[in-house]
Amino acid sequence: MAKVRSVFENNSVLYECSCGLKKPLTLVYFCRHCVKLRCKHCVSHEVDSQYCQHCLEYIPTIDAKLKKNRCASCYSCPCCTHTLSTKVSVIQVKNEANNQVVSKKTYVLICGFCKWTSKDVGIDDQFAASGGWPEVEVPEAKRIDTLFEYYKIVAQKEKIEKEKKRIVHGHRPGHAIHLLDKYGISASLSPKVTETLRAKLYSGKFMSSGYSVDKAINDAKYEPAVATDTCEPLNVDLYYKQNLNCNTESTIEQRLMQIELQPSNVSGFYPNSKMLSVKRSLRCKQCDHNLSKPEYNPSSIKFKIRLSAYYDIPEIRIYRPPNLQLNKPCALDLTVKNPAQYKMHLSFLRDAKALHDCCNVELALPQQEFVLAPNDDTLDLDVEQSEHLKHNDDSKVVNFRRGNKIGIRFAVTALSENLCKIAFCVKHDFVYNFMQGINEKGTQHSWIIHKVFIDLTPYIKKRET
Amino acid sequence: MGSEPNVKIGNEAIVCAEHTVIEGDVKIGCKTIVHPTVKIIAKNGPIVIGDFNLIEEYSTIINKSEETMIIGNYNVFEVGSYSESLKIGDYNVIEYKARLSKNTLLKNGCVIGAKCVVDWDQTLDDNVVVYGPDCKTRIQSEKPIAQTMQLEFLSKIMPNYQPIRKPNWKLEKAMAKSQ
Repeated sequence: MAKVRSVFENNSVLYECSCGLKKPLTLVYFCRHCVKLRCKHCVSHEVDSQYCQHCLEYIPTIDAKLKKNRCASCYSCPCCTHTLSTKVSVIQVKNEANNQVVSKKTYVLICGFCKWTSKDVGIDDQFAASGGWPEVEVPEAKRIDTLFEYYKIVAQKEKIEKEKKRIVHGHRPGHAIHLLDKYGISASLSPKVTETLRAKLYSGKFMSSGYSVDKAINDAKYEPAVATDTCEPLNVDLYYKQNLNCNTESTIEQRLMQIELQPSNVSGFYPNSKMLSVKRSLRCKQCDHNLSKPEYNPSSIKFKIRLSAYYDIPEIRIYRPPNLQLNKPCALDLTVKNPAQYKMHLSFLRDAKALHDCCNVELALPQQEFVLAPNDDTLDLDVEQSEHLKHNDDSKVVNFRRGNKIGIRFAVTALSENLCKIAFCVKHDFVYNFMQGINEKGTQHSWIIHKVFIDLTPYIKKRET
Repeated sequence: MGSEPNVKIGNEAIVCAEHTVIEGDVKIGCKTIVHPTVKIIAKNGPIVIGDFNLIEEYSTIINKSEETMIIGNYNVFEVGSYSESLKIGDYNVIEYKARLSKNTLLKNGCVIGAKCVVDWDQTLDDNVVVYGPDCKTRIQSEKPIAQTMQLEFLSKIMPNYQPIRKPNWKLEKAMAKSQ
């Protein structure tokens, strides 16, 4: 498993996002419109749809909200968070009408992992396979609901005041989705909907509604929380003098998982409804283009749009672990892979800023420009041996070529035993084909420079002591 | 294989002969099913396995100590499990790839979860479940159900496809011997 992870998650080579953070290539997006790297902090996240990851059912936003973002039919074990499954057993039931014994199927929720069953908490067997499990009454439900109502009114009032200010200052309602979001009015609404909502508010109607909100706030029967100075005395004996049975006492994780009930004893565990998962689309904050858009179908793992950097930016990897010796120039073998369908021209730059980020190291970057062959899926079928000659490569620098991959070697001198980090800039061209097809007119050439960091500290050969 | 004089196989027990290693002083009770590729090795002390047990493929029961290892009735040793425990009661389940050390003794109705390595110097109470990578414990309300259906099914189907070692020991005789 660890090996597979090292193939897909390359954490030794980091790329600098346009915001300055260093991330592995697999976690970076590439906005083709701004021609810049974007990480998860430079994109806006929008909720596309909600679904249950267990039963893979799509749940509309309104339903999800009503059910507190939980699935109605799937439960996780309150003891170990594993998904609960239903177990069927057949019992004999006496029919009172004609005194005949009929066999009936009953269903119990059971955890296949820690063997928790719904019988443990005293839930009777159900006669229907799905759903119908009794919901637990939350002791503070009433109070939470009143607070919720109150804050809804407060949110509305605040919103109207903001709108008023906007009019005073003559601002047109623009990008202000976050205002609506403040109290969970949802990023899941599309910008269009929020815009129309705002237009409605804007059309003078709110002047009167503002008054009614003020009234509503006064009318709302809201009891503020009262602080008391009486609290239960701490029973020290409970913790020090009594024998604690770890098997009946619940752990902190278990209590926090059932946040509404927080049972202190294992016998108070109720089945936990599964939380819904979200499919989200990502949008570049600068140009508002979509960087990632999943398909709506919950069981699909495909994307309609996916501008991961992995598809456009050449991937740099350490080809083989270098054997670094102190104060000696040693060879560092890297591979560079061109993911694009076009030929790529790539060169390493000694940027003053990049050099500044180098730690205790001297590196001799190759000076020439490399040409990387386009990525071709049918490549495995015809292996060409003479590629080395075709590109007229310097065999001191270029180790090998294999299709769209090139092996590059250059010297690195470690100056300290404890730290060796290299940084350099990679300059390469990028062809964006915004018209579908091979039409040359629809393509746009641009050059990208980005910074790459490689931590070589683990490869330094320690002086024998 | 199959000729060790010390291996006693009870009435109606199904002990598959293929790749099964049974060595030393081993007594297997009635209607117990031993799958192929199982290892039951009594290195020093003897092993006594009760009735209606189900011992699945690649599981190992080994007694390295001088004392007698006693395994009760209706226990299930799932695929790849490993047990050195000297005393196992009734209705226990040792799940896939779980390991039990010599000093961990089981009472009744315990479940040792998949891949749990239990190396505790203690006797597990009735109905204790060990689960998860951290070997957490909890007490379940009921003991695991006996695999009677599965045992019956296997005892019918196994002889059709597997070479079986013949039972050489009957309950009455055993009673007489032990008395």
